[in-house]
Amino acid sequence: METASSLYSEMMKLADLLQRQRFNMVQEKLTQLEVERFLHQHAIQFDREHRLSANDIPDFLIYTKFGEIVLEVKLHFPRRAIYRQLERYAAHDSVHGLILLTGTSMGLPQTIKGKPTLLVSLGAGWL
Amino acid sequence: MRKTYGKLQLTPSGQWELSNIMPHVAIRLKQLFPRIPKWKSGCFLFPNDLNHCADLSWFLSRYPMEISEEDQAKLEYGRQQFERRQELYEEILKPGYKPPQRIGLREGKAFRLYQEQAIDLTLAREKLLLGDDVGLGKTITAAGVMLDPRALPAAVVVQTHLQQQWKEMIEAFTTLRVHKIKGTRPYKLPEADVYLFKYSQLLGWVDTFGDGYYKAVIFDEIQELRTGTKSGKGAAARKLSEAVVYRLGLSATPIYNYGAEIWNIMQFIDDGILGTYEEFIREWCVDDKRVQDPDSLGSYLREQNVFLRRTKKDVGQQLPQINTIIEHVPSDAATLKSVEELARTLAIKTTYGTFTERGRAGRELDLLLRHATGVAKAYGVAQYAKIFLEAGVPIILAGWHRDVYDIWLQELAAYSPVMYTGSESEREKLEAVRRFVQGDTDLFIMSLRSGAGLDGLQHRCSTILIGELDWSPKVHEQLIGRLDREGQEEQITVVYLITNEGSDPPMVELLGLKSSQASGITDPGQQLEAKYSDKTRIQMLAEKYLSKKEHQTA
Repeated sequence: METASSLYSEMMKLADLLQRQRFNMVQEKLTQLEVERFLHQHAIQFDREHRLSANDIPDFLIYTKFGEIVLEVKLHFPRRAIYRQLERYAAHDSVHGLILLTGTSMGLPQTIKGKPTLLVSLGAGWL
Repeated sequence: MRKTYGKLQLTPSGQWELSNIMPHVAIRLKQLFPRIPKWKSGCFLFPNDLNHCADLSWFLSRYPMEISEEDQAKLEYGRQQFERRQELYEEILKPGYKPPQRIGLREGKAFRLYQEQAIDLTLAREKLLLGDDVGLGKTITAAGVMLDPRALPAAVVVQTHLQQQWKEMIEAFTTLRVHKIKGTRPYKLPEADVYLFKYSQLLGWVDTFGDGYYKAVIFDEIQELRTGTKSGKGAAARKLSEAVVYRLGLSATPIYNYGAEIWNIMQFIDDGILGTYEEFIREWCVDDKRVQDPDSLGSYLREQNVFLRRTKKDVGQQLPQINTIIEHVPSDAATLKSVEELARTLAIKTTYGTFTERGRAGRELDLLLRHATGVAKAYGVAQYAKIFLEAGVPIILAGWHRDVYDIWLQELAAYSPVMYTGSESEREKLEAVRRFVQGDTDLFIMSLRSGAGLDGLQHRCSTILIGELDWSPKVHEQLIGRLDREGQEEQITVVYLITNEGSDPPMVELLGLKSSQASGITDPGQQLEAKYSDKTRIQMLAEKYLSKKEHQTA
């Protein structure tokens, strides 16, 4: 239980950092590059395009003391498809939490398949 | 004899024509000049300007073409001129630049170096968009351009409420004679150096623009022309701009919405720089609104020296970073529910209606939802404002809808708010400013779009609450500019009060997309700094407010 709340507070910290940054909202490839640079700058350990399975390749898999978190970047994409994708990632045992960085306005439940989720709005970063 | 890959000649209509090009060279050509349509084959036309002379000459060094001696000489001359000009511009923009003496300044007045550089770049290049940050003295730079006799007489086009301010500024700084144009019907103009037009007067005076009387035109806040030459105002502005030698556009926020607006703006400054509209779309855009790579476009415009922009930081004057806070306020579900049925009907129309129906229904839906969202969160916003007001912190509260103001006025009546919106007369607005600045009240309720040019609030206030969102991020920027200006002594706090329902979430993402575009073009390659966001002071105020409230109920 303690690990779970520590993981969640790690996720909150990262989401808060991401929320303060302005990322490109025109080309997803550039957004991903900027996020990669951002993670490097903050000395955060991660894998780019880590293969959870043949079909499930999240943009970033972040390593924390309390377990791995998926960080997925989506600019403009159907909400349902985003959700389904997150659901697939959450099904993997190695994934302990999910952060969605998105330019599509949407909501997320607090957990998906029992894994905590957080949403960071790209648009809010530009306000 | 050297191998050639095709033929280059200058046509009688004054364009460069490449013909009989080998297919593999045509492919290279299209890669290097993306404004050529991919389907085009056979012969390719290019304008005969210095820029294209330089590019074509370079292309010919790799793929020699058959070319007459005369044309070769013209091409070479163009290339050399291009290089000479680039050197000249670079010289002007160097930090150690020594500007020439200027005549006509009033005693005790002087230009800053970055202003001198902009003045001389305008005179050398004849066409410039100046995008310096708000507060760096673009008006004074413009006055400097007009001190050069070659630029006189000059026409200056300004927003309606700034005509008098411009006259006073020019007269205080220089000995130039200024005439304010009155009305929209031409009359015999008195002799003067500078004629000040309002944008709304241009159409009426259009017939007087063709005779070459004016030597320079300055478009202040040129984003006024962002819709291009389709409007009467735009067409008249274009005619004026075509008839002069020097063109200068001023705006810290040239891109108001989407990146593609820059093409329209350039029609009034340097219409060849981005090619025709079709070429521009092909070369730079993903659709008719969005620029594919704003950074590259911004770098291109800078490399061409047609866009010059310096930030406050560049010239060493910077206020502390703005503290930006995003707060989620509760919204009233019943209000949003009440428009649900109507919204659904409209939504169906936007999907299945005829073309016109779809457009109209879409706009109505936007308006309806934005109004409902504003009303639904108005109470929550008012409660949030109380945290500051109870602590005696003066605030600006910005909104848009009358119904929203009514809720705020009712909820916050105890703090005797003053209003500065579309409903007040000029006199009432001045009185509102006076009362707020003097400290009669701590609450200044303001319309999102009524603030341009308003000065003085910065002496009393450093906190602004944005209670409703605008469609354009530049409107928020202009609004924050009321406080973020000379005379402000405290750190500015901006609080965006948004709700998770209604139109706020999609508007936030759209605002981000628009800002992302504008930022790339105006500040290409800039490493974006993290936003400063510190809630500790507000949390402290909130705790105080809550304990006071508990105390009262106990």
